[in-house]
Amino acid sequence: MTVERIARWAMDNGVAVLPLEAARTDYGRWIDRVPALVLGPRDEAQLSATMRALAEARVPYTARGAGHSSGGQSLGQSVVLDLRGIDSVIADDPIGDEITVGGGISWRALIEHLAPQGRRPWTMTSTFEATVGGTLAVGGFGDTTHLRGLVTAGVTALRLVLPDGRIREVRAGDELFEYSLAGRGQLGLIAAATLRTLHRPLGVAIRSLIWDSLGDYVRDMLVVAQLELFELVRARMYRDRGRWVVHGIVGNFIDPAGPIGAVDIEPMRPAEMSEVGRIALLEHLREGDWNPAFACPAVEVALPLPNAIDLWERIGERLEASGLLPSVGQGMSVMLVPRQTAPLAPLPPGAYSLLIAIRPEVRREQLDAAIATMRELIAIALEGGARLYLMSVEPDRELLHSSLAGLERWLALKHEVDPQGICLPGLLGAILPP
Amino acid sequence: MSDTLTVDATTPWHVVVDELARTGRRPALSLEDLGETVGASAARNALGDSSHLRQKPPIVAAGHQVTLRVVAQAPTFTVRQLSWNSVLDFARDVLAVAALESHDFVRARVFWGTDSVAVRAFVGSFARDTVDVRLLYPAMVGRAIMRGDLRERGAPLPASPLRLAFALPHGLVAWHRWCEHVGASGLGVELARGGSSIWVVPETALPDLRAKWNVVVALRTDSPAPMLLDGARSRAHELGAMVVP
Repeated sequence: MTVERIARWAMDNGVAVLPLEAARTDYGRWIDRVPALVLGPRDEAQLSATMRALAEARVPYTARGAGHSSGGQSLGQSVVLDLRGIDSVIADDPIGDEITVGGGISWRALIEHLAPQGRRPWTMTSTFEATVGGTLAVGGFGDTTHLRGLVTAGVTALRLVLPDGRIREVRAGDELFEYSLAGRGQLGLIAAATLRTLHRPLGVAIRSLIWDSLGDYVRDMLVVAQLELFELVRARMYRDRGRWVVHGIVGNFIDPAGPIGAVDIEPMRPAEMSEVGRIALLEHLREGDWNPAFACPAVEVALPLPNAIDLWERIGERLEASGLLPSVGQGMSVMLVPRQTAPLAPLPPGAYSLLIAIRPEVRREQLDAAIATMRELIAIALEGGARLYLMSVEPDRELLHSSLAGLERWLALKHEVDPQGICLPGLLGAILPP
Repeated sequence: MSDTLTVDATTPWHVVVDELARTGRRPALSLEDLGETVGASAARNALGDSSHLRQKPPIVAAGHQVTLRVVAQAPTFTVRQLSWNSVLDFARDVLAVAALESHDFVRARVFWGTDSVAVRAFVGSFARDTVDVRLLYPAMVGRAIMRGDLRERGAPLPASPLRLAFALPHGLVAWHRWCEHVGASGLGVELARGGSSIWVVPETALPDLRAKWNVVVALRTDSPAPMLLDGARSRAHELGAMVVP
């Protein structure tokens, strides 16, 4: 069966055929890849039937939600499955503090569902427009990561559609569960996820802080994490007069209409701090307004502590020497990440690591040089024991081996569930047996 | 090899340490006073050099016997001397050490001056022969790297008639007020010249701790002054600190 016949099959079976235009680029905006066909299954049954048809036809496909990848991972020249139609709230259990949602629902929609009940997800991504399934497929970091870890730490169950169309409900302890979290869709697509929730309002009492060095920031974050001083931390690093300085906000969730309370930073040592303020999370904590005129390749590395400070000096020095630094005008997101047990968690060994996201905005003509610099930064980071997260530069065999402790078992599972290698080919394509 | 050792409660620590050292092991709870019996340590919920780390209970008493958790490491350690000008600065560094699990040996003393408090500590590890103080912010770092051995018996410690726990972070306000009382009452000058023991410990380190992290201080004095100690105990109680039995 060809792609044309898949398209005919989709129309005969009520699966939406979507415009190609919306699926030809991603958040990185530096790869333009026009797919042959974009399908939009509306529910788990349609997704299952579609994946079965694709498997029978041996047609490779890519999946995407909001397309928040930075290196074309959600793009494809063959069939692209747009999962945003699978966006329902399937079950909600406020007493048990769990909610089951379709994998294509956005974090914003999920939070808007929970907020009127005074609830929010256990872990928060700061990219509200991303889909739940897409975030879980890569790991997910956010404003509560310093306490709760990756977004995947808040998942209790998944409904996976395997590459042959079978549906499997999996939970902690099941290998398919463990290797699907941060597993980049290689073992199947997330049709539904059951997430832990917390009874917390979505107002936040905050202070803005400035630290004069990355070390000062890290040190304060270790104290914050140990004492659980603040549930919310968001910080960005800048180069300022020859130093790496960090600007951030710290705070706790409060009733938006209630008293603001204290944001006590007594155990911390920032260089500057603001008065206490109040924000409504949904309105104010958005991903920065990135300029669509620029490409936005990304390198996100988790550096081991305490070596991270010295290691960053080397990475930062190279970044500055490359001339790319002015393109990171919005700063680089920095966060403390506690140890995770998930086999594909992109984190170095150790109780805590430091995630730094370098997302320059570059013009097309600067792209080749920017990507070359990214590769150099990755090499320095890996040499220092870092692990790689979302990548603009797709990893080769050596890089995958050095980045993932669970790679061999992941490959074996991939071979079991997708022997044809048609589900999101690319990431493991370089190292899977033909 | 078993990670526990069960001994009679009347066994002194130096016997335990010597016995374990023969097989390249050490007790998880390492104490300064090796003359004390393990039963006495269990009865008073003794804290040791690794109490800042979250860990399984290092010592469990059952009748006349005590089961000790042991670690497959030699009883030798490598340390540097660090000092801080406040208990908060010391606590911040111990919290960082605990977060990173970077050092499993912290043996600290607090000293009362006329209007200030200083903390000095030996910080290091059993398993490493270097002491990495990156991300620590002491007022002073000793240059010398020193090697120690749990089997070496020092002079007996002065008695500890009062042990208090201050919850972090808010208990530090109580700590400051209590220190003012210690200075004003004259207790400060009665305390041992070698300082009093101080730890930063997680809630699991002692029964009934109310906060995730706590500063625990064991006052040490060569010549107990009952009235001054009673006053310090009462003041601590008023301020919301916990008197640890």
